[in-house]
Amino acid sequence: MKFLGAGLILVRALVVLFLVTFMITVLVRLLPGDPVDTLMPFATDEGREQLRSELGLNINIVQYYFRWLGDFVRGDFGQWYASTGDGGGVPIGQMLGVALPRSLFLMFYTMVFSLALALPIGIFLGYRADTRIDRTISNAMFALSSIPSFALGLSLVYILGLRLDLLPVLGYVPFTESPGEHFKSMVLPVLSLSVGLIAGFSRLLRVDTIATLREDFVTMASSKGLSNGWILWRHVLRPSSATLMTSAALQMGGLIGGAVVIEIIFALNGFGMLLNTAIVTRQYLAIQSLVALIAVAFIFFNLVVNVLYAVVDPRVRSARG
Amino acid sequence: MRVIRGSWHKKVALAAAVTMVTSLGQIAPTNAASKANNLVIAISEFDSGWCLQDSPGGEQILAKNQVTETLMTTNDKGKTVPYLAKSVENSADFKTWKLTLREGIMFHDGEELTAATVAANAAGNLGLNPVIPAALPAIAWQDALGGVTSLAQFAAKVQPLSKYVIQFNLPAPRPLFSELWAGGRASLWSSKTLQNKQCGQTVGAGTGPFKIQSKGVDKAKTVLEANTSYWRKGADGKSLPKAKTLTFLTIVDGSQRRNALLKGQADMATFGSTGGLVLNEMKKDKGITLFEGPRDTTWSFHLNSAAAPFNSKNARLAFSFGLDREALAKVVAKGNAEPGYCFGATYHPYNLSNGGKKKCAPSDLAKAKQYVAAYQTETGKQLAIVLPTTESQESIKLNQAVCNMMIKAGATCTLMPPVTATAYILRGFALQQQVSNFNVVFGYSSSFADLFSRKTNLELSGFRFTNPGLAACFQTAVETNSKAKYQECVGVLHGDAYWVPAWTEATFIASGKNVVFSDGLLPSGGKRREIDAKFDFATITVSG
Repeated sequence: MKFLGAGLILVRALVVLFLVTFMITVLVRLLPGDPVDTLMPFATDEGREQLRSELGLNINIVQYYFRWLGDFVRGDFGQWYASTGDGGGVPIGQMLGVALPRSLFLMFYTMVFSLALALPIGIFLGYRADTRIDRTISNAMFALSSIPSFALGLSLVYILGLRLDLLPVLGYVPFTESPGEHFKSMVLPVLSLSVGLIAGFSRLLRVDTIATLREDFVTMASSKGLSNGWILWRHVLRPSSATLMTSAALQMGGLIGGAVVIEIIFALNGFGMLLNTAIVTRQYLAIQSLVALIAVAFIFFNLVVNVLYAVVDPRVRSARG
Repeated sequence: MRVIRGSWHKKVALAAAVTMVTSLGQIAPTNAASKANNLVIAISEFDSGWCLQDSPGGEQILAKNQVTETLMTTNDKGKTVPYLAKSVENSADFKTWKLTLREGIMFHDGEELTAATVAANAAGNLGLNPVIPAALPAIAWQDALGGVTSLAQFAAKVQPLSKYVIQFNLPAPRPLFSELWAGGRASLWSSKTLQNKQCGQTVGAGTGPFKIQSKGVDKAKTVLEANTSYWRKGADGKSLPKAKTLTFLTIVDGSQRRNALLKGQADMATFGSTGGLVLNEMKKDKGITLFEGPRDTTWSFHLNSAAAPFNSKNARLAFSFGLDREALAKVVAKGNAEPGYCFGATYHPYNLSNGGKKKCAPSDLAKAKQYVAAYQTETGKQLAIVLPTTESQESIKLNQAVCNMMIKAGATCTLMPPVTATAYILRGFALQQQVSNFNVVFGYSSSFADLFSRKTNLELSGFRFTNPGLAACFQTAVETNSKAKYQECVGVLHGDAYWVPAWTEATFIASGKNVVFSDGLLPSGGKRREIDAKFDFATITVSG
């Protein structure tokens, strides 16, 4: 039964992936302008026709989609087109090898840092709901979440980077090169992205915590004489985490390709920047492969969250059988 | 069970904390760039192709020109002089050009520079190399050599006479032919490079002071390493280059390029006049030295005279007089550019300012209003201007300012939806825009501007259709290189407002405190020609 359920989830994910990637193919085709004009604006008619063939613009979209899908599942994401045409560009897989780790580290540190702060704050605010301290902290969180990440980033650069001279103002250092420099290079971008997330996550957790605290099992635990801390962390946090986990999963997918502004400000040049450059320079194959990878990330994180629902909340586990 | 899990969590948390603290403790300073002799240069442009058929922007040409070199170059006085070539001779009618090469110049892949290499590069420039498709630069070369579409035609016009001598036979007089070999885009690659589809993408062997170490995979970082067998020596007789590596780091945001200099994360950085606010901040920064090149690049509006409304001279003159150039220079560059009343600097052939005394295209709101009214009388319609923009903030800001000026003059004005810079150029060439904003007049030479004023397929403003006599005028000017003829043609360009100059700007390079200049390359506050795409990093070092 369990295997059947897991199989169904997997099939559903594959169907979503198929639909999403096909839609991307259609949308990329619908982008205004002829990609050949952009990639090889001064080519001869012969050269243009050759590029048209290489880009699959002379075959129908379904044929083209399956040709691309075949390459994609084999890990061939295509080439970053150069003016020398097929064989002259850089494989997108190689470029991802540079850009993706940066975005994954950025996403990982941001989520870890945000959740590490949001969990205690959210639980605490739920526990002290409608008190003065709840209102004060909630309002402060609300104010913080309204600061755009780029404005916060530039302010942090000025204060922590230039005035206090504590951190580098931009750039990325691979972990393997120097772990210390690596962490330092990530502090400002992570802080810039985290503040809004901490505010959002803690508010979500606060609301769910308030609801959970009204459940009978909490009264039961309290009547057994368990400490408030124990009840909150052991019995309230897990059933209150469903909304938070869903939100976190969506944010994780979004952070991979969506932190473009922060990547620009801090010259991180990760996945988001690569996608942005691909769009600006009309690298059609790259756009298609990169957006498909984001879709894969979204689906993956949602699958993980589906599994985690059952781990953290016994009621979900028992309902699924 | 509970106790064990608690302990496990604590151990992991403790280990992570210890790792973090110890690794953070390893770092003393945060200025990553300050490693002796490893120069980090911050630019705003992402990596692009460097090969003959590519059209990289100014900052990418700057990086490319550390790897490749040209046969000719422009000296401090604006004269085209031999560089990789030893000498240049031309016939009295300027149709035959003979270039003799320096001997013993080696490419990074071991090939020697010979007449055959120059011929291979010329073929590539003309679009005759099947590995490298024809592109923008081919237009200039085809124009000079009078249309070369086959190898047989090529052999008749480009003739290696010996190992180190090559002759070009041109169909028409071309007094400025040698300038084609001096431009930043005309640098030479080895023959082997020109047969590689990755030419200029990830690989490429030139003769320059630096070799490509890594390029193309990380679009924001290009690393070059010293060419230890470089041919040129420093003024002290010692080998060049002085730096071990050059790293070109893309930092799009201008204020972050400045911050990188202040922190020592970059040693040098490039800026344009449009980064006016940041430039003004840097003038006050201690530890940053800002070098400004000559203000000789004019951005001008090219009005499409092949279609309404600018097929009307009244509309064109309304635009030209309505342009408040003082305000524009402030909006665009915050005082770091000159109002562009004339084209280029006083030494450019297109400049009619008579040593700076005359305003070739004056701003005059009252006259602009008169011409707007005259347009309405002529056509029965209100002058309706639609300005195209690129996606950059600078372009949108500029065009909003221009629109406000046109509205003040009595016209209506709207902005087109922004497009990429490439799409903007392509639409401009195809005359699908009323107006295009370009910088075709710069430096000492008229070569580039001449491409747009005569018979190539770079239409730009369409005046060749409405005024073929003017195109013929420029053709004669090019063939005779006569200053008087240029003055006559440019007079019509201004008088009929086909090209409307807007502002004239410079390029800036800023350096941090650890940079050491030698050979007197950059005297403090000096305005030298080197502050452009041919800036020479070979003589620069950085202290640790």
